[in-house]
Amino acid sequence: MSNPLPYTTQPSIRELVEGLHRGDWRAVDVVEAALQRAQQDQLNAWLHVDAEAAMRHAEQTDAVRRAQETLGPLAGIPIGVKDNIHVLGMPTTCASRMLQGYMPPFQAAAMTRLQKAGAILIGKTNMDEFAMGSSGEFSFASPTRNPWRPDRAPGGSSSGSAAAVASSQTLAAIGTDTGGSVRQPAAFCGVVGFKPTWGRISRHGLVAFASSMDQLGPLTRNVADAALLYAIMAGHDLLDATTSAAAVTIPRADCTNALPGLRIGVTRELLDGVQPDIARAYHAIEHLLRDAGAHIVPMSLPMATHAVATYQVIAAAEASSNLARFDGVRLGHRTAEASSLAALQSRSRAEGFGAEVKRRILLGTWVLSHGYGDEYLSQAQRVRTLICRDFAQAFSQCDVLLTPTTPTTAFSLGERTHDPVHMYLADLFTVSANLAGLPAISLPAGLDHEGLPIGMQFMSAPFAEETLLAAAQSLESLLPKRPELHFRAAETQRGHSETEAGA
Amino acid sequence: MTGEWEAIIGLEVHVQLCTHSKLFSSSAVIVQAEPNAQTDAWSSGQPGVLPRLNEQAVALAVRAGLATGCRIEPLSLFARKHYFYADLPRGYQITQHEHPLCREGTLEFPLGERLHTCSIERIHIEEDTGKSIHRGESSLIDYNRASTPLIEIVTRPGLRTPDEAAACFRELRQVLVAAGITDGNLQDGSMRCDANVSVRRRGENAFRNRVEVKNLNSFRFVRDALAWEIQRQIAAWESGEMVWQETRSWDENAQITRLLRRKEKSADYRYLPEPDLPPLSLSADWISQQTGQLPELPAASRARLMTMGLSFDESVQLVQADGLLELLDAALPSGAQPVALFHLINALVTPALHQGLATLQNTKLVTANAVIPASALGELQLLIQQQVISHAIAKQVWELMLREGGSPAEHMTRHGLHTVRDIAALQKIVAEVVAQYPEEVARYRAGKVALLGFLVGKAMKATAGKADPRLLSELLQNMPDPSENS
Repeated sequence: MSNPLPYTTQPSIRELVEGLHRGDWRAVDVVEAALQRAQQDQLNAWLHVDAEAAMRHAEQTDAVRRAQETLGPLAGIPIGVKDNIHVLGMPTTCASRMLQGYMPPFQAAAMTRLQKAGAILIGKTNMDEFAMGSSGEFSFASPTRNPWRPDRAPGGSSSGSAAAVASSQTLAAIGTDTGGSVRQPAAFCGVVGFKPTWGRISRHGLVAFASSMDQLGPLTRNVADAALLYAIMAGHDLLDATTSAAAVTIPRADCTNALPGLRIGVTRELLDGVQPDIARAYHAIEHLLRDAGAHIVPMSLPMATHAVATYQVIAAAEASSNLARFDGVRLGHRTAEASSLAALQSRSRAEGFGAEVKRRILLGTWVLSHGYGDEYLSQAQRVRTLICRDFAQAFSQCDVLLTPTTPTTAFSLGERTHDPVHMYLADLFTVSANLAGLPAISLPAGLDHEGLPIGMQFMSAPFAEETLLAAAQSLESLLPKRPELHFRAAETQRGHSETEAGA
Repeated sequence: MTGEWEAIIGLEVHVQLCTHSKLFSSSAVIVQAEPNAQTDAWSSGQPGVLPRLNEQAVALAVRAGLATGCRIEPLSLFARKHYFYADLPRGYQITQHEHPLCREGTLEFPLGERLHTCSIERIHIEEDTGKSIHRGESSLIDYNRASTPLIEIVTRPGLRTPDEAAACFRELRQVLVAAGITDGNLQDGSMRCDANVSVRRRGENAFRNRVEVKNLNSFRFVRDALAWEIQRQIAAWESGEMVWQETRSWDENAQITRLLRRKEKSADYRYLPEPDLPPLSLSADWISQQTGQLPELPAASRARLMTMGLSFDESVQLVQADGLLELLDAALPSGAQPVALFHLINALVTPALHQGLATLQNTKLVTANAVIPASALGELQLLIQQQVISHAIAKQVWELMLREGGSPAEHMTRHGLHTVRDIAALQKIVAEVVAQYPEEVARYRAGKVALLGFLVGKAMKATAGKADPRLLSELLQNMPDPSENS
């Protein structure tokens, strides 16, 4: 095919699918280009790329198209998958020494839905170990770099997924979000990150971190793509008893007129410690939304200031439980020598887990321990209930809430690895949605004075994804198109890789 | 001295539910499978698998609650109980903690002449662990049992004697087996009883330290272990020693309990609400459907048997013997009289079962060569009732049935086992007996009435048991006096 591949022209998934359908490109061209970029990746976005299987799937897709048989809505689209989600034929390591070489015996339900829709899962993306971290630096492999500036963190824990999409290595990647792990790296890397309502997407095949908050979500270049992937992955699943049977609906891809009359909640409370560029961007967007006909409703979320502490207690408690299975007995890392079962278990865990994971397991074990359960976990559960109540109250007065996604833009690599509390504050705006199970989306909203992306977040009531996505698509349509951002990302990529085949 | 002490006993009984598949995954549950042949991603603790609650297990657990008079909670919650052990595949066991499925039941159990009552505190659902097999330096683990469904039944500490505890456990098993909740096989661990016991002086209100005796898998072990443990505790207190809060096991060979571990503080299981399972919410309709699934339970069976004329003891005995009540019920339509049928079962079937000559399978007796339906047993009893055959002949017919199968009528015809009622023939035999035992006859005539039985026996023997014993007895009583003839 002679048509240049569309990576730098920033098509949406739909546009690319239409191009494939028209015969502008073949699936093998699209997938080969993605694989080439992934293989030449200098950002450490990938932990595993299965080029052979991906090319085989692409060839099958083209063959089906030649036979003029029906193809799914994602036919031929290459997608990266965070390494805590099982894809058959690929290892799941969670970027941990504990799971080096672990081959899952089954596939995540949501990945099967993507594949049935025709998506080609090309590899596994880097992450913070067991999804615990906000910078991508707690990976047993090398930390991922931010495509905008290689000395900056890409955010985490879905660091590789965000970096791969931002640097145009794939059109989309799947991440997981327990306290902001899809939205925060999306904001740092200038892409869209969407966390649906807890219970929307099956967690079957996701290695659990904090089960009551974990949720899969797409990272994409635009809101409509995120909505499309969400609609394919979401829905009731027999393998996950916590999935909802509620109908999954999304706005039309070209819906950009949701703002007139929409009640948008804004909050001043949490803006105090926020980077000035982000606060300015927040106010600018508030004006933009008002000008577009939205009703701006000032909101108070008094409990939100306790969200990070509450989140840390609950997430750590659940993590200590979920990670108890990694004891060197059945699977995962086993210490070379041990004289007793207890020694085998404790030494395997000591060797297999990294510092941040151990920190959370210890914290979680502590808060669950006899006598402390009431003081910490029960207390945190009560605050969680109050936070939910705050939001229920808020969403009786507004349709969506606007906040920044992060208090700062991408910080430097190494800046916070020894300052856990400061690192945890990166989740200030994101954890509330996980505690309350709400859907939330981060979309790129300009650059700071250093030229780093700023992310803005919309949240809505549980299961109100359609409203949320319509609001996000409408805001996105008002923001200046900035292909230069993506070109810059591509240039960064090129700067690290002289051998890259030009796209 | 022991008279002034009383024991306080409570039971915790783990019961394997007879479901087709595991509690949280679809693997089959078969007792005799190759090690690790019945594992799956869930039972082997693979990351990324979520629990799927088995509805059949919930139904059986609810029936267990209904059968023991519990209140079924419309909303109950699951929780994770944490500890590290090699045969626990996830580092936690899913159980129910603060919000169990069933609460506040009662169980009436027979002991001695009457029914006693035991209060049940709660019944909850939980998954079993795998099994560790220790061989010298190495240990092997079989995850087949991992995540098979259990209920734990916790009684209130209202039992006072080892006999009460054993009888309560026995009745509990009877109820659960009758209700189809478990196979109740104690040897295979389908029911495992832990007993908590402490002693105190009568009149004391406070409880003293209690000891948990683990894994008592027979009624006798419950009784013997508790009897020994109570004596140990009393002796300790009386000699001024301390009874520690600890876990002990029963050593059947040595007939003593042994220390397993001391609970200096209560174990820290770090309970966590299970985030992967929604609350278990049961509608009143669904619960009442489960009530409809319950068959007649032992208490009702005993009451029914007593209305048929059996004594309390007999009804208890019949209900406690696995399968015999069903056998009796299936034999009744023949027209056999229930009490007589009960005695016939006791006299013929029970010994055959004990000797291993037959096994009971769904109201049929299965022997090496034959299957004897309950109706054949009823027929046999009917023949006795109608005085067609004597008890002695019935025993012969029964032995033939055990060996060859077939109906009682067939054997009687084939072997000429009809009762001899020919007066002339019997008179001849009576004459012979009288001639053979002149001394006994003389003593009988002199008033030693008991000797009649002896003479009837001799005459029966002479007819190979075929004579109608009542006729014989009559003839002997009216036998001609030889002295009158001389």
